[in-house]
Parts: sequence; C-alpha cells; structure tokens
Amino acid sequence: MQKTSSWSELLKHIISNSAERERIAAEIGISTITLSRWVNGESKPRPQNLRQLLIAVPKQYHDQFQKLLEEDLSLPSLPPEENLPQELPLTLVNEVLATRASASDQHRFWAISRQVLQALLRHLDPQSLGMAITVVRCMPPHKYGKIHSLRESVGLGNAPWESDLEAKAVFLGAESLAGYATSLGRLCQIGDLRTEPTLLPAYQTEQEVSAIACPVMYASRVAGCLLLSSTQPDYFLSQARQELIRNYTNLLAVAFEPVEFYPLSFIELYVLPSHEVQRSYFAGFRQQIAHLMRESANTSHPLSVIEAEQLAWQQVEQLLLHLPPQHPTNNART
Amino acid sequence: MTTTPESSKNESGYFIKDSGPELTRLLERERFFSRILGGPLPEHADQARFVASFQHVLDVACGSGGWVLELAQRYPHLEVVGIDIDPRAVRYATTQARTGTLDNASFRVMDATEPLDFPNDFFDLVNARFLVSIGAAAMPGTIRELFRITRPGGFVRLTETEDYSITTGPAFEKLSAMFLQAEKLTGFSFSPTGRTSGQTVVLGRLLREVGCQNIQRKPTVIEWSAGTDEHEPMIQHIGMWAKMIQPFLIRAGVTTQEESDQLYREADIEMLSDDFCALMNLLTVWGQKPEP
Repeated sequence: MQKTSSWSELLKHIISNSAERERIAAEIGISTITLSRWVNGESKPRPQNLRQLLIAVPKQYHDQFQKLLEEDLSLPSLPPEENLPQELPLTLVNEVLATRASASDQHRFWAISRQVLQALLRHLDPQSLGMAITVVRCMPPHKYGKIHSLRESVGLGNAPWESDLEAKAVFLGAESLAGYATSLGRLCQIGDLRTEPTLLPAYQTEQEVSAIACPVMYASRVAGCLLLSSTQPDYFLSQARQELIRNYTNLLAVAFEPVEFYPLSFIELYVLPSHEVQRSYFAGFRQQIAHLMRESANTSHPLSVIEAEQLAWQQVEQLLLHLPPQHPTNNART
Repeated sequence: MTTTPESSKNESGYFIKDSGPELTRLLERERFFSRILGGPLPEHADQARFVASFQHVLDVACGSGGWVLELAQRYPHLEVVGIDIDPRAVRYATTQARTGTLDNASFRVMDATEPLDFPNDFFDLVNARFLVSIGAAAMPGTIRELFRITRPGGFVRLTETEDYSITTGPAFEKLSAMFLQAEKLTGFSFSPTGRTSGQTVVLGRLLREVGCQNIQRKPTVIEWSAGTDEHEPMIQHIGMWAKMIQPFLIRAGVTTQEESDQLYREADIEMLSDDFCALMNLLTVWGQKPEP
C-alpha cells in the first residue's frame, strides 16, 4: 500500500500513470487539468466530485482514499452513500396511471413496465455503478392450470449490462432466485454471489455480485417478479432499498392484466436447461413469429405480433420442459 | 416538439396523440442512440474536451429529456436545461432527473415557435433534434431565436432525418411514403414533392441565414437489418412509432383504417424476415455564433 499523508498526495501517485489520469478524469467528467489542479491544491473538488472520485480510484486505494478525504477538514464533508430519495415519486405514479388510462392494449404493458424500470434504474443506480432490472413473467398455464416456467421480458441495464436486455431473455424455473421468489410470493435477496453460502437457488452470471427478486402481486396472486442484479456486494441489503423495490414492484403490477395473476398454489416450476441450451432453441425464433403471422393472415383472427410471439414462446417452452434433465450446476441463475 | 402538446395551437397537427407510450419510447430511443453512437455528441471525437469549458447547455423540444439526462450525468459541471411544449413531457423528464438525483438537469415548459424566455448570448451550446413537428414555416424563426440565446463563440446544433429509414420491406416503404406525403400535406415538410421530409437539406442554409459560421456536418447511418444487433431494438422503436402515427396518417387523408391495418400487419412480418434490410440516416449540422 502506498504510504501517503494526504488524499492529494495519494491521487498524485495514482494519476502519475497517464492512462489512469485520463480514465479518472473521463469517469468524473472533468478535464485532466482540473484533476491536476486538485492534486496541486490550486482548487478543491465539489461535494459531488468527492463521491465520484472515491468511486473512480482503483479499488485497492478505495479505503485509504476515503480515510484521507475524511481527515482533510478543509474539504466539504463526503455526502452519505445512501442519499437516495426513499419515496416513490408521485409524478411517476401519476404518469403510470395516466398511461394506463389512455394507452392502447398493444402498448400498455410495454409503456408502463418501461416507465417503472427507467425510473427505478435511475433511482437505485444514479452513478451507473452497474445494474440490471428485468421483469420476469409467468408463462401461461399448462394442463390443470399449473405454471411450469417463467420468462424474462422487458429489461433495462447500466453497463456492464446491455441497456436493453430483452433480446437476451431466457426462461427461468425452480433453479432460479426469480423462480423461488415467485413460488413463495416473497422478496428474496442474495448479498454476495461470489462468496456467500446460501440455501437459495442462484447462479452468478457474469459481473453479477448481488441480486434481489420481488414478486409482482395482486389480490394475493402472483404474475412473476422483478429481478435486480448489481455489480456491488450487498447492494439490496438495506431495508430502505428493499422497501423501495417493493413499492416500485407494486406500481409495476399495474402493467399486468388481472388474468395474468395466479394463485401461489398454481406455481409448480420445473428446472430449466442452461442458457446455452436454451439459446440453441431460440435460433429462428423471429422467423417463427413471422411464420405464425403469415399462417393466420387469412383466418378470421389474424395474429398480432404480441400474440404470435407469445405462441412462439409457448412452443419453445414445451420443447425445453421435456428435455432430459441436466447437471443442476449448469442450470441455475438468478 | 417531439411530444404531444396537452393544449396548444399545434395539437391538431401533431403526429402522435397517445403521449404516455411515446414519452417512454423517446427515453428508450435516447438510451439506444447514446449506446450505439457513443454518447450525446458523437460528432466530436473527444466529447469531454468539447464541453470542458461549457457551463450552460439547452436542448430544444427535449421530449422526455433523454439527451439532457445523458449529458448532465456524464458531465456534472454542466447546467443542462430542456424545454418542451408538452407539460406532461416536462413532468416525465423532471421525475427522471429527481429520481436520479441529477441536480444539474432541469426542464421547463416552453413553445419553441415563440420567443424563448432566456437572455441573449447565454448558452454555450443549443441543441435541437427532430424539430420537424414545429412545421416548416416556423423553422427559420425558431433557429433565429436559438441563435439569439447562444453566446458569441457558442454553438447551435441541429439533427434531422430525411426519410426515417430506407428498407427492403414493400409494406414498410409504402407506409413511409404515406407518412412523408402526410407531412407534406400538413405543412411539416420542406420537400417540394413529399418524396422526402426535406429537413436535412435545409439545415446548413438555416444556420447560415441567422449568421452562424464554421458550419460543419456529420452524417450518421444506423443499419438495423436482420442479423444485426440493432435489429431487435429498432423493430421495437420504429415499429411502435409507426403504429402510433397511424391516426395521423388517417387524419391527413393518405390512407384508411382498413388499408393501414393491413399494411402494418405486412410490415410487422417483413421486419421479422431473414432478408430484411434497413438503414436509418441522420444528419447533424452545427455552426458557431461569431465572436464580436
């Protein structure tokens, strides 16, 4: 560890590497000249810059840097990490209800679910540290009304995830955190997928460190869940954040039709094959939708894209549910 | 004016009435554009350097505020303001800024065709994209006003599309042609025939006429053919936008409900086909206000 007596000295050491200097300046959104001025004592960072600086310095210096910042009494105090507003914004609630009142059947789920996710992503990850949020929906029931799998639908992310996650959607089942939370109708979270021994079903996807799944409920019935992943450990541990996620999920429930909610006793999830296996069954998926639409074009009920897509998903689900079982460690994910 | 005014002189003319889904789509579009183009000012190789000395930036007809939010988040030293005629859009954008605790982004309700409530020579950069919906007749006056509020040495930046997308889908192309005709019939087009929107071709002249110098331009082409990463997201954006303009096409008298329903179904199938090819063309033109 570098022996230094002040944060500026430590920063000077870090940015003596020109690539690091460029990276840190770019991440904070300032010029390298401003960075040099801070180091030379010619100017001081603003409170919001302090928090950004702390995030931008290499991880091995984080704790030392924070301690030195706090020791420098000439600086404004470091803003608290949990400075997020904890309430659901009333304007968002109004917008969602206005959309529900006016949007066509075709656009309502698309619009409301994205409205909720856009706001939640900004709310929970304002610094873009890395988060993915996905709406996970129950697949329509099979014989005797039972639900055997869930499917990822609308999803938004900040890097390292893609900004739109829908193209990468897969089926989830009993092996997943989403499946577990949906089956129980209860919020479930995992603080650190890298190290934490847990009895909850879960599998760490690339870059994912912590995760939470919150069921989407209506009249004690469930339609699926909201699944969040973060690059940070214990990101969903605080009660305040869990409460906020619960509130956003309750608002998301407005996007669903009442018939999409099922009694918990109807949720009987299977273990689904791994992503890789699933993806091999998604090849030609778009063409299958086009085919179903063409086939129905001259019937009394031509299928819309949404209807054809749902039918195509159900066909793939049938194939996946009847594959021979795999080794469980290859199957799971959050 | 990318969104539907709740009550304004333009209400009868605007393309889209159902503004909830449209505001959501606009924000998604900004996230998508920013990702594939590499930021809110992709024409500059070093965007951070370009804005390093700036303080005040304005986005005109900001819709749900995606461009403002992106710029404000990337560059905290900037004060970024968005204006839109639609109070619902401004509320939507403000909600996004507040939930993200972005205190350097703000939004105001303002009509871009009227004198703007900002002082002379104030902004370092004034940005306006897809201004088509203010109408061709209003455009020169609006650009003059944007020039007035730009500081000497500051920039006015305009981005438009000429034909939305060129594709190999017969139904998609027929709908595009209908839309361009509807724009022409309702006074939103600069084209003498309605074959294109005529927007990009006049941008340089509009900036020169108000006194901008050092005018530069950067074309951007987004391929969203089947098999590209952009295919799926663009189907969502263009497909949704296309359906939301259906009432506008019918109001303008270029199609009927039955005919357009059939074309939309065919266009949906075309876009999903293996051999579907599509390009979206954008042109950004920017000029500088001369120093005294």
